[in-house]
Amino acid sequence: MGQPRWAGWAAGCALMLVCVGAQAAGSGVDPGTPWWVWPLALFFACFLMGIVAVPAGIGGGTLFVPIVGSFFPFHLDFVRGAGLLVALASALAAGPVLLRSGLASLRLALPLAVLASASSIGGALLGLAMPARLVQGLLGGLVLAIVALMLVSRKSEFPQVDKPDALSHALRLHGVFVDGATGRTVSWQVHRTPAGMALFLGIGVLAGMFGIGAGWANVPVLNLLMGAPVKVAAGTSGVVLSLVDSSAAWVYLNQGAVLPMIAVPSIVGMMAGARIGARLLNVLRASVVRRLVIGVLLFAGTRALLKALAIWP
Amino acid sequence: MNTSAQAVRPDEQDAAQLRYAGLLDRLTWIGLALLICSFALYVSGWLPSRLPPQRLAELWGLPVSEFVARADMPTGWAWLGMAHRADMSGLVGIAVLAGCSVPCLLALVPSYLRRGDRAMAWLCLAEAVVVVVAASGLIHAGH
Repeated sequence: MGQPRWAGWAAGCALMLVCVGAQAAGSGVDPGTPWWVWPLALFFACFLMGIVAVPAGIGGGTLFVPIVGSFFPFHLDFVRGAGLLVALASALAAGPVLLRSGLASLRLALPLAVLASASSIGGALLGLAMPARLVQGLLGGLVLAIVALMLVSRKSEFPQVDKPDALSHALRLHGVFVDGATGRTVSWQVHRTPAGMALFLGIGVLAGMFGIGAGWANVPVLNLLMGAPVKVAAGTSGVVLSLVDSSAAWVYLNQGAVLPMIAVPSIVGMMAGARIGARLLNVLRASVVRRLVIGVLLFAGTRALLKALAIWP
Repeated sequence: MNTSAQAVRPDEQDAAQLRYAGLLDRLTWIGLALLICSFALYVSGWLPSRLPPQRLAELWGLPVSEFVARADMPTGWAWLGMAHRADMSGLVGIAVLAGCSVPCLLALVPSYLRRGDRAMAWLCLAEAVVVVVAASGLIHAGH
């Protein structure tokens, strides 16, 4: 098992090196640096993020904004615009597969997505209207909160839902899927739908404001609060993301905050890395990669906070 | 939660979900292909750009409002009239990705209504309206 552990560390250390290198080059602001260095570095960093994101069990979008926003020379407005598109493209690419397999439920996703999409527009407007330093500070706080959530959160594979609530019953929020691990057919239903919908309103604001993929929040709400099986929660979270990030992305696009020069290398790098990460899923030690990603996020979150406080500009 | 060994039979709701998945799949790949082709045109310099990469690199550290003013970049849908420029053409693929859920959702409305599932039909319509309102450019913010 030495090689998989070594491979996980190598990917994480390479990501850290790219971040530190980008930070050093960016803070130096050498006008002689050719422009193509940055999209290339971005592609490489996103490729590494894509590799580690899958085994770490978080979306690449969650890594993108804190890391690129903290260590690359782009303004946070453009990083958030690109972050939304990275999360959107990943969710759109995975969505059809998840929907076909039954691991995602459109019926469960839609009521939550309508509220979160509407609130994500408000979040995006708010984020673009706020001073960059305030957004940077809040982002640092959010990233550190995500780290805490990753450390303490537990998952329930098949939560017990004895009786659906009235809204869940009316909307028929239930379904079946075949669990690939056991080959069994699992039927599920959800409860506490109004509370879940209220939380998705808040999640939408955060997604729009920070351009950060919200899978880290979607999955616990769907799984631990509403009682969807963890695989259905993860799959449905992707479909919700594909709808929520669409709305927020339009706000950034209309403001001129989406630059293809930043978005395209990020999307392509992340998707290529995620394909490698998915293949390495059974080889890499997920616990090692997860610890490493927590370390990188801790570093990026602290860096964002210190940048906002002008302690580490 | 209930488990059993029987196979999953696709019911009518699954059919709607499968239809949505099929449409979304096609539009996503069209959007990604457009995105990559337009980016290749941009960085290769085959097509003229409104903002050449060298100049962009001097300005991407500015807040978006200042960037738009300094580079005289379009906001709202004005970029569409400049889509023949390499840098603006990249936004076509991005617009396809950001808007592809709308036709997929609208395609489901008639089938949900035919089945009498008005709640799902309304939810599809509501989500499509939210994305269209966001895309309209009618709502905006500023520093």
